[in-house]
Amino acid sequence: MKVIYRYFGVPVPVLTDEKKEIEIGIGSTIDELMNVLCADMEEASSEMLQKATFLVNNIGAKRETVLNDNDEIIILNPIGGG
Amino acid sequence: MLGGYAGKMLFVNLSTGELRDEALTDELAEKFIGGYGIGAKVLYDMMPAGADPLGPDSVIGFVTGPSNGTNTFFGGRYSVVHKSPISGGWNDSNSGGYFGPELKKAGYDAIFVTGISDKPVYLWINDGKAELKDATHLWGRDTKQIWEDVKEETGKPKLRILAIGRSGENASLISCAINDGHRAPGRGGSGAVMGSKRLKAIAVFGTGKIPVADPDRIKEINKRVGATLKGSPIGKAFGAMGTGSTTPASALSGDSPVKNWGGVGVLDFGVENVHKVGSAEMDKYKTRKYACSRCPMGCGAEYEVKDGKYPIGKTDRPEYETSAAFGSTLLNHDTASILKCNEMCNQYGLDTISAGMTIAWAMECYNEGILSKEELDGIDLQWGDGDAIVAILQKMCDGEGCGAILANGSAYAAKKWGKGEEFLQTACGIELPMHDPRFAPGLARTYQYDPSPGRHVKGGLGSLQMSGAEPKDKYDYSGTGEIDLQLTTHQEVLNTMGICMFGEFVSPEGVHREYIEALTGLKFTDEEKYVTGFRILTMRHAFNVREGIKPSDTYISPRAVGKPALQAGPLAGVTIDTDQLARNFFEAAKWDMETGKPSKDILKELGNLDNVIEDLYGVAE
Repeated sequence: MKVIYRYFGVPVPVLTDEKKEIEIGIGSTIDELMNVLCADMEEASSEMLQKATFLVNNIGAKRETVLNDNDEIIILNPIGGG
Repeated sequence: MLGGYAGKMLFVNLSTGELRDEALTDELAEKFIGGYGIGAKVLYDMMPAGADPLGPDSVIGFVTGPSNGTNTFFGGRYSVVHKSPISGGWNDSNSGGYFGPELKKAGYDAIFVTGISDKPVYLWINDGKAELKDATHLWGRDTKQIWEDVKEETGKPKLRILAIGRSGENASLISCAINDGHRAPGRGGSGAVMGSKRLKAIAVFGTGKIPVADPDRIKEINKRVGATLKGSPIGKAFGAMGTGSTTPASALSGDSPVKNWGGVGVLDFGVENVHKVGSAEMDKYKTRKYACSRCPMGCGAEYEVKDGKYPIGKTDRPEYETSAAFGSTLLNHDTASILKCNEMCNQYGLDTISAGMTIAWAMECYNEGILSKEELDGIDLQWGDGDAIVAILQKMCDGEGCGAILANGSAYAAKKWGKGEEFLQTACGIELPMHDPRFAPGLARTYQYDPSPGRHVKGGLGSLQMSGAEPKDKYDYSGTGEIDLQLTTHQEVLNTMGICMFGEFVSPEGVHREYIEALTGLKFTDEEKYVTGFRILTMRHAFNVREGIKPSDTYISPRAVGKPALQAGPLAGVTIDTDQLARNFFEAAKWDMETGKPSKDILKELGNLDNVIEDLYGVAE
């Protein structure tokens, strides 16, 4: 199935705020999607993304949330401060 | 004297013109570290309970930490302490830049000012020599102009200055001091306190060296911090784009408030708009990067806005708090107006958080038909209208018309106009900062019950949840007391050392305890760190208890804790059990939930709080 994702937060390689499509297996979870997206990422970045939060179709979701075809996932990694 | 200290405090009485030096004792330094730790102890001893925050008995302190003026990485922050004219209780606020370190090099760990001058003055400290100087000709200057004026009249082009602008002169309750032209100990009304004393500024210049116990160990710790910083994505992000690097993410995640805390980022502000409030967009104006004293990261930047509707010229990159307060909170994605508001607040000396939040309150009141256009001096204050936001802020800066009311904050304005209380988003009258407790529920306890209410820099459980770390389900309110207290006491030590909290984000665990040892020469175990942080927290809390403030007198606006809960978005359905979080914390701290009093046993156990025991229990120990 196909899902759309974009990322907002501390800059990391690969992920940006532009919408991108990816093919993943039917019944995949957000955790499985993140494993694919972080596969070639340096350890510090992928470790940091363990703390990311997620929206699926503008509703809060967790890593174990099962994705559906055409879902839009927003990956968020804000840092509190300032 | 312990290493890390200049060894001297300055006491100024503006009513009599007396300036008096007093040695900083090793005991005071060891037990209260610096910053608002020493500040709380001195103000508790100096200020009578019930003193008018804007009256002659009020004391305002400017207090450095042992890291300031040394080689310690991230050691650039000092504290301003006073009784808040907004909350009526304890207030501390801290700021970076170069003022704190320069004060140390000029020979003083702290300055405490009392009394009221009969004419505007500024305090000039030139390498150990302190004097009060007439500031009549400087009254009315903004916080940047006065820096240039004082450089010229003292002949010291490298001096550092902390000053109030016109908002402080007018005793606007949400005004603040500004140092280095753009850094702010922003919260709780320091500008009003300085203005009420007719203290326009403190200028400092120093060439002294601060002795430290083990300079080689500091270098070695710095090396380790530098190595972790180099590999840290957060360090890289803040170093490149500052705290605004993740403002867009915060607007979507629920971390930033939206539409005066009643909206949802993804729905009301819009995914396609969030980039306009972040540094990635704003940095097109960047002319150079800068850093606070001894900061290897450097989250600051100078901008130059030459054209557009607000050609403000040289200005500074807005911090996250500022961009959120004038951005998502107002549904405003007009970047030019946010930059303009930031510069206005810096020049006039207004707290950007309280200013943005006060406008958010007025905006909701206006859009709900509670405030009329006439009451807002003809300004059509629609959600997201950047030009209307600038116009109303200008009124607040000038203290004219509706601005004379709004310049005292939203709680004051609601009382003055006698309406709109239901739209206030404050903790004990102080506008809430830009991190939503519904996203990081531990913040609800901190905002309401910290001795300085409405702060996002006080550690605690919320600080952990804010950065996404969740040792357990964050909405499970059982058993939070111990970890909340541990994390709060940890932050007390960092803040009073004068260390920037961003240093914590990128440093190996435990280095700040090591820094204390290397600076002072004292053994500082984890247990001593906990006890010292707890003592400082308790000292601040005791100031409020002595003022008669009970836990039941404190409050947080219901919307901010999910009463009622949002109906949509990532935080839909969240209601925080603030009472449970507070009970857990008070139980862990052994503070009485009814009276607020710390137990006699815990006061004895923490030590150096004998006068608190006497005041609260009537028995000398």
